[in-house]
Amino acid sequence: MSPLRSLHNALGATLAYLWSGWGAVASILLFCALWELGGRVYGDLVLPGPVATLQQLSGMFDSGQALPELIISARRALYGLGLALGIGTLLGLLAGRSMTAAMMSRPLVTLLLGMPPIAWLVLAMLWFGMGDATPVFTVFIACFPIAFAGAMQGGRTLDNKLKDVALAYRLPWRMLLTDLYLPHITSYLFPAWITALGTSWKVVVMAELLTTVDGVGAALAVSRAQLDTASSLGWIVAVLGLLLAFEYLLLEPIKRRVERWRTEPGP
Amino acid sequence: MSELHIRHLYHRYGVTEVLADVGLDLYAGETLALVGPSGCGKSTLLHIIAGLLTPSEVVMQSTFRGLACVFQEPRLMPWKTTADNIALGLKALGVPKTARQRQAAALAQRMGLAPEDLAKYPHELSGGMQSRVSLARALAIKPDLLLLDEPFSALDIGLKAELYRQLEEQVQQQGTAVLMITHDLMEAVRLADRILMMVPDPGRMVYEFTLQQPQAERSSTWVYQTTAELMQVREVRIGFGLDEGELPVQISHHEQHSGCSV
Amino acid sequence: MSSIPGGLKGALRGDWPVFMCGFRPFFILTGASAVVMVLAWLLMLRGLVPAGMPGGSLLWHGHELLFGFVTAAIAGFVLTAVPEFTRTPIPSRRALVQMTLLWLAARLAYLLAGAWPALIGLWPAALLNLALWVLLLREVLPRVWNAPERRHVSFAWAIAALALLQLGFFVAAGAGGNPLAWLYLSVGMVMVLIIIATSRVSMSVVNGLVEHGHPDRQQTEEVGYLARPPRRNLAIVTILICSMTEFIFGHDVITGWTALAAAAAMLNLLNDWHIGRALFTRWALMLYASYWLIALGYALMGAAWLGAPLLPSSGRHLLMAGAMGLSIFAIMMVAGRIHAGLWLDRRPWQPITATLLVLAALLRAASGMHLFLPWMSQLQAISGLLWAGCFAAYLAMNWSALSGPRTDGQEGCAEPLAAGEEHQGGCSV
Repeated sequence: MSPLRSLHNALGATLAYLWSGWGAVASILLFCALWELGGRVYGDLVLPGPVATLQQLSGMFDSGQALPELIISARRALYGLGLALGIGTLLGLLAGRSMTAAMMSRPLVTLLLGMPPIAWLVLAMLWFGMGDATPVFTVFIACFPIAFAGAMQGGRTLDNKLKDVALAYRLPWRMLLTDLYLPHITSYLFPAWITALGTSWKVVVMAELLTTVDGVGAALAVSRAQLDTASSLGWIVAVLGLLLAFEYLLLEPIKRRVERWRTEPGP
Repeated sequence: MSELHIRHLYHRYGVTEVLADVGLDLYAGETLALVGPSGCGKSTLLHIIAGLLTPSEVVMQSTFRGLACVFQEPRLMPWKTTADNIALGLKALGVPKTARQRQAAALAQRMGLAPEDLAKYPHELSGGMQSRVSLARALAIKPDLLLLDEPFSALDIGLKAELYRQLEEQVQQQGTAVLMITHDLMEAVRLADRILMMVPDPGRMVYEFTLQQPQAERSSTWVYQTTAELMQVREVRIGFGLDEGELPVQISHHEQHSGCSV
Repeated sequence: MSSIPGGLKGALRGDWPVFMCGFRPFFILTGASAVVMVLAWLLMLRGLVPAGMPGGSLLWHGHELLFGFVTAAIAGFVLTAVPEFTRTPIPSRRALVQMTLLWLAARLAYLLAGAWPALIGLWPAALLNLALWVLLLREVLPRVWNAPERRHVSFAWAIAALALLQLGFFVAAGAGGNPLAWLYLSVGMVMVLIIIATSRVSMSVVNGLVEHGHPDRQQTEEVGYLARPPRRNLAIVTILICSMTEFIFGHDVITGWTALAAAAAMLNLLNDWHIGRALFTRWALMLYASYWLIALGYALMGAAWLGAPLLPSSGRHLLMAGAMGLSIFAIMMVAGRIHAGLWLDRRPWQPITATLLVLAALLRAASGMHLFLPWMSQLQAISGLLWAGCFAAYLAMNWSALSGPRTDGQEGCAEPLAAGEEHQGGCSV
């Protein structure tokens, strides 16, 4: 396939992917109608409608209040997430290689996954105080078991039949890695990573709400103290919008690209 | 000339004896069929020859260099396109990309795959097409020993006939030795030069049948007749459970060769 | 009609070719009503023609274009397509004559309603219109009900729903309610009907099956366009939600969000159509463009309700004059020829007219934007004239196919004889 043609194909696939987002847009807009209706029923003080909220949010952006806080929160979430994905994936893969390690780590993963992040937060406050480290650590500890479990699953479920094929055809170790293990494991890693991303955002806001003086969580705490529902909703919309954009504009396209072999890109 | 000799092959899983004192010989250009009921250790034997299993005891000598396996299911890498799947073995041998893509395309065409199928992933192919890709993957590395583990059992008659033809061509042109497992006696009679009957508990050889008729002269009638003849053999009848009876376990104790007269 | 021997009785006996197949009388009425009603409306707007009917001229304009023009097109389509989809005999000439007369009488009854006492008012029109629906359902319902799996039963529901909505309109008009709200609700229903009908027609149009058997156009490659239900159902549901919301809340921010959702769901439906080169035929493009017009129409209405500087009627006219006009034109161009025994019309007037039709709708939409308010009446006049002109062109170019005898020796609604094969009921419209 010539490079021009593959570029053309990739462009077409990207367009088709973006276009398929209209269905999601439709359902979000219907939700906005419901939200507006709720706002009508309960009044602006309790539940400002989407129009009021978006106006408030754009006001916050215009005044230069929103962006710095978002960047601070994003930085903390990404640090924690990056650490969790790196370490969790590595350890998970190692655990997946050995039945014994998998047996040992399964209850630990269940334990870690079951532990409410708020409990970690309390410990982190005791250990790290009120600085950056507390939210970063909380995010790390909340995301780590997700990445670990995904990687371990990927390692454990490798199809022995395919491994036989690889051995019968005398694949060198480098090819074993690139042509067998990695493609297989990525299909387990990606969903886990996406889940971890969602968790990291939620946890960082929660951690900031209770421990720091800056970031979206802290801003939420301020707006709550002032009974400013519109600002609170504005912050929430901003966080959700960023999450959606990150997932659907970055991770999901990569996932589709990597997993073309699973199903056809959705028509 | 390349050849493979196996003597005194024993294999155990835990305490079960899967193979007991198995021996066989295989020469280039020859097609050997292993038949027998399920559980008689045919697949284990094949895996041992392919190097996927290490037996408990064996005396094995092989001068075959290129070995290719076709498994019972197509076993294609789901994340690879048809072309890349066919070229898998070539890639392992270090053949440059353009060359192996060219060879894969040529083989695919020989196997009756359309050019647009080359870019498809396995899940987009029908079962029959996947089987062709699997066979093409094996033939791509120009093996001198081809191991087939019931590769045709799930295919329809037309496709079977076509793949038989490809196989015969390969044997005639390249002098490839073929060791095939099948539970279909007729398939064995049609393709093999020799048929080895195996029985379970423990897995062992009990009977050998040599077919003198050249491949090209095997008509359907001849295949039917020969199969019917084979079905009258006592070991075959007992082995497949058609007749009551016991087949004695003969252990060679190294002075005598395997149960089948090699 | 070149010869009218034997009058009405002759029509029943079969002397008038115009009653040979369901689309013929009703596509003529569709084209003619488009021209007459829009011209009359433009004249009423300028006060050149008195508008004495109860409820005023706006109500008349909306009602007649919806339940006159569109109903005629629906009748023509289902009376031809449903027998074909269900492989049942075509409706009798008697039924066609009855329905045609009822349609004409219903139009007159509304137009003249100002001439009789207010107590009677629009009720005769209501009765005649409803009677037409009843006759139409009598033809359609048994056919779709008895067909295997009842695959086409949604046509019957859509027709019944429109009949009920029209009843609601007349009750509201007679009892001092808000008849306009019923019209708006009906617009939504018509959009749903377009989506249902287009999903059926588009598969054969886009995949090139309409001209199955054409001597010069042998099927060369598989296109593989499939109108899949999930996206269609999402679009239908959001449109229905939007219509109901508008019915309940009227001009409101909540309605605005649902209208935007409907627009997004329509754009989502376009996913099924993005199949590459096969889309670029005039037939496929017309149907594709009508989906775009629905999406844009709802987007404009949504924007208007959320406070953008334009009138909701801008969007509404993209739906009606635009999407409805274009899909009616497209379906008439396909069904109205194939079932007259003619292959599709490949003359250049056809894409030109379709383009002008879209242009007319866009001009009408522009006229409702605050930016263009100073030129509102001029824009509306140009748009109306263009739109009426398009349908006049349709009538002129297809007059003999609609009213004349068939030239291929076949009868009824049969498709053209395929080259070198016995005719079989194919799968086209």
